[in-house]
This record gives sequence, structure tokens and C-alpha cells, in this order.
Amino acid sequence: MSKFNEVALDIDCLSTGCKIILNVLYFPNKVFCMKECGDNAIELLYSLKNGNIYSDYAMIPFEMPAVRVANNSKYQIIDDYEELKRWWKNEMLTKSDEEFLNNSYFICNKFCIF
Amino acid sequence: MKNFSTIHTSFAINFVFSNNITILTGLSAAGKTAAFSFIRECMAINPQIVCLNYLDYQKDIKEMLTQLKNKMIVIDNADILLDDETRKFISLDENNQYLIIGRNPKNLFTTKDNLFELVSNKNEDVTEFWIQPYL
Repeated sequence: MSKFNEVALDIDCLSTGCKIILNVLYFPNKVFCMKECGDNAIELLYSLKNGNIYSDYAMIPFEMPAVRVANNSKYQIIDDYEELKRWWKNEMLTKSDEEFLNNSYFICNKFCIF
Repeated sequence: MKNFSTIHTSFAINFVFSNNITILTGLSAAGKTAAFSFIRECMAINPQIVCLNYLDYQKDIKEMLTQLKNKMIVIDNADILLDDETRKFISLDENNQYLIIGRNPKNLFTTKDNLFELVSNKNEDVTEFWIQPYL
């Protein structure tokens, strides 16, 4: 329902952040870029029990659960905001933008798909 | 363009711009893309307005911008649409005015004077949108 006039919205009228959350929720075997998400959508994304998300710069809510991060074949569980920020920053320092696009860096709650 | 106003069904937009580059940011579902769609409808009657969004992802945005003059360029989904080179071009473009809907100010050389958020208020049956400083 639209928050402005309480009219039922078609899918194409949903916010980008809402569509990303629904995609992550219903397509756990795919990875979705979260760069178009606002803070409210990011908090919801991190609260999902399942799903795969990606960004080439850090997007982390202050209250975050443990997440599994992955690059190439390396997995790691991180449950601390600062630690996750450092991980993201280090990855950005060591890889160029082009390599980011080619290698796909995922951060996810439970499963990673390469 | 210092002001932009339009009315679409039960929505009214009244934007006042104070800068050559306005970055419209904020929470998801605030109405930014809805406002963009209302502005885009005005493109048909106002040739000064140029709107770009994710549908233009395959196009060479920078090349398009270099050919525009004296336009109000509105860019939705800017975080995925604008690469670093395009952002640098926008930051130095003296020929056009920009309303950029996104959250990443990288390479746009922006200050807090460029950052705005969308505010809405329902007045009887009309929902009004306007922008206010984000910080």
C-alpha cells in the first residue's frame, strides 16, 4: 500500500530498496547489488536470514548481526561493525574497480553463490 | 532553474534549488523515484528538462551530457548509473544544472550545501513534496 494515499501499488511502483529486499528474499541463489538501498532498506537486508548482497563500497547498519563475507573462494564470519568496515576497506584498497566487477564481492547472511 | 513545480494527480511538487548540483538523498520509499516520474512527465512540455534513470544504463551517459547545454538534468538511480569519469564531468559542468537522486557523492565534489532530502506532507487530499537540507 502506498504510504501517501493508501492505494495498492503495482510492483513497478515499489521503491528500489523494497524491490531489492524482495529479490534478495525470494531469489537466494542470486546476488543483488544494494547500492540503491537507503538506511532503512539496508537494516532490513541485514536482518534477513538468507540471501546474497553486493556492493563495491561499505554499506553497513550500526546494529548488524553476524554475516558471512566472501571474496573469491575465501569465506569469513564477521559480527562487528568496525571489523566489517575494515574488511570492506581492505578489499577496496587491494582491488581496482574493474577487478571488483569481474570478481564479484559478496556479503551475505548465510549462503554465498559464486 | 531556481524553482520547479508541477501537479500530478494528488501529488504536488515544489522544489527550490540553491545550487548547480543538488543531490537528493534519504531513506528508501521516501518518494524520490515517484517525484522523478512526475518530473519526467514534464519533459514533454518543457524541453529544458532531461531525465535519465536505470533504463539508460547501456548508454554512454558522459557523451550524452557533453552534448547538452542549458538543461536541467535529473538523474535517478545515480549510484549505479554514474561512473567516476561522469561524476567528475558533472562536477565541472558549467553548462547544465543537475538534480541527482542517489546516496553516493563520490567524485561530485559536493558539500553539505548540495545534499538535500525529500520531505512530504499530506494537505487534505494533496500530498506535497519539497526538498530540504539533509544535514
